[in-house]
Amino acid sequence: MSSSDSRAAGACTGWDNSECRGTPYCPPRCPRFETKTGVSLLVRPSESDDLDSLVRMYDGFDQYSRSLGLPPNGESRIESWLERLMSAGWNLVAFDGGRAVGHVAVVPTESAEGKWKFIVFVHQEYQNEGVGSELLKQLVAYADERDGDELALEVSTGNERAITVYKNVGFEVIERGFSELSMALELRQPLTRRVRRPPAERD
Amino acid sequence: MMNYSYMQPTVPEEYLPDESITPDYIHPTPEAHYPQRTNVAEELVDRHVREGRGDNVAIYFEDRTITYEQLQEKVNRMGNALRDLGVEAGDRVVARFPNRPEAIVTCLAVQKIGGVALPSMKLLRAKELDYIINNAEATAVVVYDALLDEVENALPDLETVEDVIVAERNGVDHDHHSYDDLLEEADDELEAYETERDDLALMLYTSGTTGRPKGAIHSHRSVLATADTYARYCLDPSEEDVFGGNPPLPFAYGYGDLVTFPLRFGASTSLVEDASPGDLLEAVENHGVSVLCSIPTGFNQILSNYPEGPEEYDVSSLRVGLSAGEPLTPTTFENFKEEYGINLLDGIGTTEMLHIFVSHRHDGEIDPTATGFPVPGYECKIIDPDTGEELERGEAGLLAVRGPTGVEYWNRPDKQEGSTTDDGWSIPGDIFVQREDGRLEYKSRSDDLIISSGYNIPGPEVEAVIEEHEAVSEVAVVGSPHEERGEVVKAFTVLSNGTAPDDDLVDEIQTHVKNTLAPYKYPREIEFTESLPRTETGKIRRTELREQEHGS
Repeated sequence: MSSSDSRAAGACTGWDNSECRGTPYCPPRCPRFETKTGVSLLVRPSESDDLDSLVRMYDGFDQYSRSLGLPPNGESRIESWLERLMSAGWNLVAFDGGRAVGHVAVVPTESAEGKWKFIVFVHQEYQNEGVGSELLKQLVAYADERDGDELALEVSTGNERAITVYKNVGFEVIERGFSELSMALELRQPLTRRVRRPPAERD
Repeated sequence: MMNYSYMQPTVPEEYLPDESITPDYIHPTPEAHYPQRTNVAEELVDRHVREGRGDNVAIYFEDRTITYEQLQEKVNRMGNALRDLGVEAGDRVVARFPNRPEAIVTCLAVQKIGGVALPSMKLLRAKELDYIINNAEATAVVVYDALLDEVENALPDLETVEDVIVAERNGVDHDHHSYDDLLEEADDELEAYETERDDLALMLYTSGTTGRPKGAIHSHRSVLATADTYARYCLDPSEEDVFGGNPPLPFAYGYGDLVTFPLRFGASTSLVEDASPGDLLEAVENHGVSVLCSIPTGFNQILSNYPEGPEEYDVSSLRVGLSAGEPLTPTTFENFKEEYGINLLDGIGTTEMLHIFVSHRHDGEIDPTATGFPVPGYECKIIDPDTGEELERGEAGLLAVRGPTGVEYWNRPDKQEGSTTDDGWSIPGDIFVQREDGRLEYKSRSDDLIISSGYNIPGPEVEAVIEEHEAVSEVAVVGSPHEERGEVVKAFTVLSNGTAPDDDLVDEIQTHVKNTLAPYKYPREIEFTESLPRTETGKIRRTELREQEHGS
C-alpha cells in the first residue's frame, strides 16, 4: 500500500490505486499518480482557492523551467496571468499534499470551437518524474470528456525534451516557426479511450 | 559508445551517458585508429621530443618561444604539482586564462596525469562559473591573476573545489597557491598516466537556447581524431606550419586550431592575449603565422580596420585561413582573398562534435557559397526534423553526422536523448541542404540560438537578467542581423507603468547584463515597445519579432 499525504483534500487518498477498476463516479482519469521516485500526487480540476498555491508555485520557478516568457516575472504579474487563464478556460492542477507542483491551463483558440490551446508546467523539483506526461494524459482525458476536437500548443524549437514528450503522446508538428513550433493533437479514439482507462486496465 | 574505464576512478559512472543513447562512432580513416592505451599529452608533446623534434618551436607568445622540450618540462612540473596537491585521475580541473601558454601547459598537464581538462571562457562571471564548476564537480581551478576576481566571488558557493592556483602576472594579491612556485618546486620528470583511449580528456561547456549550459565530454582519442581527420585531410599540416589567430582556447574551435592541431604535427602555435585585429596582423608578421584562424567577425574587422593591412605588415607567411563559429559570407571570402591572397576555409563544427566535420579542403575547389564536403572520417546526411527520414539532395533539413567524435553530455540524460537520432547519428542542430554536387550548404539553426561574433547566446538567459531591472515589465530577446557580427542581441522591452524610455535606461540595462553575465551576452540593441506579441495562453511569439528584424 503506497503512502499518501492525508492532508490532501478531495477524493481517493490513502490507498494504492493500481488495482482499481474504476467507479461510475470517477473523473475522466484517475486523479492518483505516483512519480518515478514514489511521491503520490493528486491531479484535479482547479478551484478558485488554488490561485495562491499556483502563484507560489510559479514564483518559485527557476529560469530554466520557464518557457517562451512564461510564467511572467513577479508575483503580481503571475497572479494577473493566472486570473486571465482561469476565467478564459479550464485548468488542472497536480498537488503534492497542499502544494501545487504542476499545472495545465486550457483556453479556446481564436480560430475554431472545440479547438483548444494549452500550456503545461511542472515545478523544477518535480521534473524528470513523469509528471508532465501524466498531466498531458489528464488533459486529453478531460478534453475528451468536454467533447473537444483538438489540442494545440507552441513549444520552443530548442526544447527537444518537451517536443519528444508531446510527440510520445501523439502530438504532431503543424508549423515550424524560427523560435516556436506549433503542435496539435486530434482528440480521437483509441487515444482518448486509452487515457481514460482505470489503473487496473492500463498496460 | 563510451566504455566506462576503471582507470579514472573519480569519474562517476552515472554521469556518463547511457550506451543506448550515445552516438555510434566510426573510424573510416586509418589515422584515427589509436592503441587501447593512449594519452593525448604524450602524443602531442612527448612523442615529438622522443622522435628528435624537441627543438621545434611549440609555442610563440609575444617575443618568446617555447620548444617542445621546454613545453614537456613545464607540463611535467605542472602535472607533478597537481598530483602533489591531490589531483587524481578522473578529476576535473578548470583552466581560466586568456590565450596564453599557461593555459596549454595546464590542460596538457591535467591530461598527462589522467585528469579531465576543463578550459573555461575568460569572460564568464561568478554566476556562470558557479553553475559550471559545481556541475562538473571540479576539484581545482588554475587561473590567471587578472581573471581571479570572479573565481573568488564564486568560491564560497563552489562545493567541490579544493585548490586554486594563480598565475601571477599582474601583481594581483591573493592567498592561493602560486603557479610559478608550484612549478619550480615540482619534479621535472613525469610518466604519463596509463589512460585508455576512451578515458575522458577534455570537457567544454556550451549553451543551447533552452536550459542550463551542458558539459560536452571528449576522450583522448576524440581529441586526437580531430587532428587526424579535419586538420590532416583538409589542411595537410607540416612541422613548418604556424597556427595562429584569436579564437579563445576554451572554444572547441580554438582548442583544436591553437592546441591540438599544431602540436599533433610538431608545428607551432602563435598565441596572442586579448587580440585586436591589429595584434593578429602583428603576430602574423612576428611569429610567421601560416594558418590564420578566426571567425567571420574577426576577418571582417581586419578588412575594415586595416585596409592597408597587407602593405603595413609582412603577411607573406600566410597560406590559408580557417573560419568557423558563424556563416562565412562569399563577400568576406572574396575580399580577404583579394587583400591577402589566401582562401578562407569555412567549416561547421560544434562543441559536441569537438571540431569541424564539414569543410572544403585547402587544395580543393572552393565554392564560397557552400560550407563544403563532409570531412574525411565523417559521414553526413540530411533528415526530416519530424520523421527522421533521410531527404533527397536539394531538400533542406536537419544535418545528422557520425564520425570518430560525437555528442556526449556530462550528467544530462535529458539533453542526451534529443541530441542523437534513433540510429546513432549526432544532431548538431543546424539546417543544411545537400546540393547535387555533394556540397553541403548552411541554411540556418534549427532552433533560435543567437550567434553573435561566434558566441552562442541563449536569449532566455539574457531575458531573465533584463527582467531583474525594476523598470522592466516584460522582455523578449531575439537575434537581429548585423553586417560585421552576423547577429546581435536585441531586446524588445516593455517598461513598467510610468517609466520613461530613454538612453540612460538603455545604458543601465546593458550595464546590468554586462555585470551579471559574460559581457558578450549584453543586448547591443534595445527597443522599447508597448506590448509583446503573445499567444492566447500568454506565450511570447519570438518568431514574429525575429521575422520583423530579418525583414521576412
